[in-house]
Amino acid sequence: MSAFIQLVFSGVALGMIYALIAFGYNITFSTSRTLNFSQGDFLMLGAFTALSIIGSKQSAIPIWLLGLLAAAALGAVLAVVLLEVAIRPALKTGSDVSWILATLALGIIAKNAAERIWGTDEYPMGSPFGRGYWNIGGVSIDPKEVLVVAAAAGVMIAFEVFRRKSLFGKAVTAVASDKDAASLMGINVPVVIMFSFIVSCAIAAMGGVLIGPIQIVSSTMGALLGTKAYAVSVIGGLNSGLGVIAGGLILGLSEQLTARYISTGYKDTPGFVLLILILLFRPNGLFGKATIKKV
Amino acid sequence: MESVKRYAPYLVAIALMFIPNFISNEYIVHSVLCKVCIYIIVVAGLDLVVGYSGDVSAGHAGLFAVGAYTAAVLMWKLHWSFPICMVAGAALAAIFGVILGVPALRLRGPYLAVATIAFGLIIQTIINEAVPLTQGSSGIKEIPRLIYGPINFEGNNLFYLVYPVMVLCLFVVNHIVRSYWGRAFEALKESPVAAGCSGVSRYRTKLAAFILSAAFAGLAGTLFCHVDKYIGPPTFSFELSVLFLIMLIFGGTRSIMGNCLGTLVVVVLPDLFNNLNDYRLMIFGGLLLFTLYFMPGGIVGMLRKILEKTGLMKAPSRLGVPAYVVAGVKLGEVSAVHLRPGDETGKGEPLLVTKGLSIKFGGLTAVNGLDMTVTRGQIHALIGPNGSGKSTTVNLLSGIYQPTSGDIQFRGHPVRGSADQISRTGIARTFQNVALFGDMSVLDNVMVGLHHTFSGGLLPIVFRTPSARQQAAEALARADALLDFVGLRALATEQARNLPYGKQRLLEIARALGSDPSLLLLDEPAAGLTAGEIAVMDAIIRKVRDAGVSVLLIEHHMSLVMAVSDEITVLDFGQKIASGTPDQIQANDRVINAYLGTSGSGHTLAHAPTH
Repeated sequence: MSAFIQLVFSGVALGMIYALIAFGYNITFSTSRTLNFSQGDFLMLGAFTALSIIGSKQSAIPIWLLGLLAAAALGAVLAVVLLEVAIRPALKTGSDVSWILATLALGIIAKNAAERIWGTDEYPMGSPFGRGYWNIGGVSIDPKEVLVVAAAAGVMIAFEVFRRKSLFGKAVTAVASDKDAASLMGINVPVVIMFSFIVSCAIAAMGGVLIGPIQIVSSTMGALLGTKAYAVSVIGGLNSGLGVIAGGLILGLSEQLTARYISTGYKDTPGFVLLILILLFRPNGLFGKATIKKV
Repeated sequence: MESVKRYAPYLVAIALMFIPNFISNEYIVHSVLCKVCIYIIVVAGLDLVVGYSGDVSAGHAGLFAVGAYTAAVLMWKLHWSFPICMVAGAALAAIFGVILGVPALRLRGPYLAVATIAFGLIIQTIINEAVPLTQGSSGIKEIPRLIYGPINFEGNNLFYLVYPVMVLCLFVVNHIVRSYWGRAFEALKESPVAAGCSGVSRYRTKLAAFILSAAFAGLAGTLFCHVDKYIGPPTFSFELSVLFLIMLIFGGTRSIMGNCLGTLVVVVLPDLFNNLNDYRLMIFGGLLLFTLYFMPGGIVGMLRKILEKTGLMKAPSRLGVPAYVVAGVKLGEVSAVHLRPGDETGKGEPLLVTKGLSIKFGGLTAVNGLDMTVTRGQIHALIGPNGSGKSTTVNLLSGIYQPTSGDIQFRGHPVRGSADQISRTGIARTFQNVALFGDMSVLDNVMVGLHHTFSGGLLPIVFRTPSARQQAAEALARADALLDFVGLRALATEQARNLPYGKQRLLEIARALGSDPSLLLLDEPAAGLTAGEIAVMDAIIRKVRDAGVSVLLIEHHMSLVMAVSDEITVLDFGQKIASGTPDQIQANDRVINAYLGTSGSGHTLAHAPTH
């Protein structure tokens, strides 16, 4: 039983990471109808940046926080590059093809750059917690996973509160629902879009710092995480806010269960299967609403 | 001269077949050129999706892997002969195309890209895990040799197999994109809404493009396993999918020459700059970004521009023009064809009846319980102040929106379904904001409207059977007649975006008439026109009515409305406030109130401000 609870908890932690990255996709998708197909690689760059500050051993909390901040800062810088190099010029052409291809191009550039800087090796990454487990009622829980769940939930809830309560947050919502009307109301739409990308990419980069200690840091770590997060976005609904949490938990748990009861080798398949099933039966996601496109 | 131009590509294609007779270097012919040919098949197929229908697949390496492993496993384990394995590989990849395309293409948005990326990763997982079939990470080394008696496709001779297959594939792709399918792909890319209202099913068409593309990738995969006689999972990575996209974009989409050049450069470049190999992906990524923004037509687009500037080549011949060659019909030689409204009987009887038609957007009721009857053979105007629900009504009638409640009867039958289905029942429309296929020729725009006159699947198109040619010839004649009808015949080969605004509106009408409607919905056809152009529009609207097509006209130009309409319905805040003849409407107090905001005397609608 305790093994099962442990398994569930690992699934929840993994799911929250997916949800966090997916949350980032949804933020930019809502404001600009685009998302970053190199987000996984941004996550990886965030992890490497933090790794060079935190190191591979248990670290003091301030150092770890510094690493987290550095990753977030890098994410913000990457967001500006992404927006200026890949998204903005593509939006002018009006076709989806351009921005998808441009962000894919940035992805392979980022990955190649990481390989040149840090090589193709795999690195362990430190965190405020060591290798020990917490024993809660006979169940061993990895404190790093607790940290992931708490941090991911904290970031998402903080952003939702910001979006609903603050004036700028309301501007983000306004841009998401109608760009032209928002612009006419005096909202600086390009600034809001820029903000959404900065938040999105910073979240992804911080995600790398959270997942690094649980998995491993390498130049290829982002591909799978980024891809599964698309699935989570679609499961929750690309235009739903916190639906991604449900999506993330569903995917995280189904992966752990697959690994446990079917085969560890196939643990990456539920994401794809769920993605296809959701698109077939609930194309707007579990929590998304169908939108009517004006002609 | 004409015949030289026409047969030159074939002569070049045949000449290239003899490359191995002149170059014996095994590395160049076997490893490089064979690979180039195989990748060209993938890229030409990918072009159907990316270049023609405007979606992105970032998982073609996965489909390529499906083909490669299918052929390898079937030959090695079951000793099937290679030709059957080719068919099997292409078929299995096409099945995966269905599995991916059916869910992912239903919605607008980046879903295909998302699903194909995920698919590419899953295929890698499966290859690694299905060890009994694929030998996992160690790969398959036991691929049988292609030796059939005296015929030997090993070593450089592989080129004699790969190259003809490539030429055949390019031939097939070329015929597809120059058929009504290709036109539908392109129309959907340019304006999905207008294509839908012209009778093109967005979903089915995009799905067809993707499945075909998947089959080409699978077919190429079956050939690929014979290049190294070894296949392993690392080859079919996400990076390969992106490289396919780079080959396509860099060479130039929608061009077979572009597919070939792009592939050649991307395959050969790393060999030339061996010392930069560690920076390969960075260079290719940069190349893709550069091409997207500074060279949107790719190498071919750039070459074309240079040739045009130096006068060596005439302005680009668009997709539609070669259709004349196919059909054997020349512009201007066709006899006049008249409009063919579904059936012309029953003049004076109700054609379109709406009862309690309503639609709500969230809390806003945009159209509220509209009862309206359009009589056969009449011009019926729908007027009302801005925001009164006129355009929403047109969108409801043409299937772009689905009503929240109420029903629509057309020719006595309930109307429901998507825009393309409704277009086929005989309701056609134009758009308030002109929605032409700007990159396509004027003629091709009308040909899209005639999409419904084409039938027959892939094979007639690929083989250009007599019946396919006959269809094309007839459609061309109809299109020409329709252009003549609106006075645009002389501009048939212009790009639609180059037409002056007033002519663009006329072209929309010609395209809409292409679907043989009984009812034509005109959404503000005179908006933005000059006085002279409005007079032309006035004449055309009457001409359409006189040809037997009923018209529902939405318009703010009251002088036009009052002049041409047989009957008028007035909307305000989504509700009907009046209906009657132009004279009745002009005298109606509620109408005057709605327009002028006062119950002013001495005003008539004919003098009301227009937009």
